[in-house]
Amino acid sequence: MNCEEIRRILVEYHVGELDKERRDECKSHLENCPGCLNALLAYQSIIAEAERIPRIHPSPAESMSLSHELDRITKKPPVPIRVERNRTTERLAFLLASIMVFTLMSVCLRLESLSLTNVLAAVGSIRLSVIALAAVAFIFVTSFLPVVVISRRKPINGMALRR
Amino acid sequence: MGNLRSDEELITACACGDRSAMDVLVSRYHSRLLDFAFRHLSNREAAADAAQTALIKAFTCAGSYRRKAPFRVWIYRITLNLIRDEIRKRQYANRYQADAPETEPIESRTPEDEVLSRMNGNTLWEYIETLADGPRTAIILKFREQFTYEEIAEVTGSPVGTIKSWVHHGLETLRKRIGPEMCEEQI
Repeated sequence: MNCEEIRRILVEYHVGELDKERRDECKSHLENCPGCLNALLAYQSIIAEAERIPRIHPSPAESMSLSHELDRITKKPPVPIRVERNRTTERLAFLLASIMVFTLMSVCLRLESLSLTNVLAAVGSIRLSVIALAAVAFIFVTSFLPVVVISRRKPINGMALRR
Repeated sequence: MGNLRSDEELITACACGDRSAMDVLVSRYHSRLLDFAFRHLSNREAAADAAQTALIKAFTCAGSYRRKAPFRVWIYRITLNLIRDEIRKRQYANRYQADAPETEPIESRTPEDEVLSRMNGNTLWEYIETLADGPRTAIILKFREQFTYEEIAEVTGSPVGTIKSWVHHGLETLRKRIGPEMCEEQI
């Protein structure tokens, strides 16, 4: 490698980020090139001096100001994260409930076959009306109860603070 | 107990409104972000405002932190964006602040230290301030904040190759500007 290529990797050589092959090549070059060696020494001095520049610290007033701001944002009621309703679960629950209700109705009515004639013949039955009401209630509970439970559950990723 | 937790654990706790977690992160980063902002804006008030805004923003948006990058990369990226916004709004008024602290004395001296010891840390900082935005930010993050090249790339939004080029260019520029004093010592 020539001097320009060596100088491009001097920082990585200084911090030990070169692989063995490039490190050895760089070291060999530096042993024979005073110009690149001086460049490395200069980089090392600049880096060391930059690291030693004292860090600026916040004043008591600045710390107090930040603390007051944190107090202000943490005292606001958190905005709960909106949980999306699971439409697929709702539809599956409704379908399952419908199948169960229909099966239950069939058993109760003791229909020999599921023909329309047999169903219409039982329309006037009081027992059918009671069963129909129970079926509607059952469908409502089994379809929408999971949604109510999900909505009341704590958001997975916690509260989101909002300004 | 809070000091034993990682930054990522603390910011997750902040998302749930844990004030003690916020205090721990403030103790870890307020000074560093203030210093980082000051090195770009050269104005104490603007730097303090940028550091405070960055921390407030991080805590209010803690729920959006996805752990794809270390927390420090995330908060420094927020801070750098605020700095860039401020720079766009105004020009630098002063290159050197009267309230900047003095350099601590250097204990062990090499020939290069002899040269640089004649220039205190603030003078070296004057040279660093004259660098372009990219090289200056890269040098600050690499050598004062100890970021890796990949982390600097995440913070600045530039490729790793560009970051390495900025660091090299920045050091070479500083070497040439400070160089005459160093050359005299080496003869």
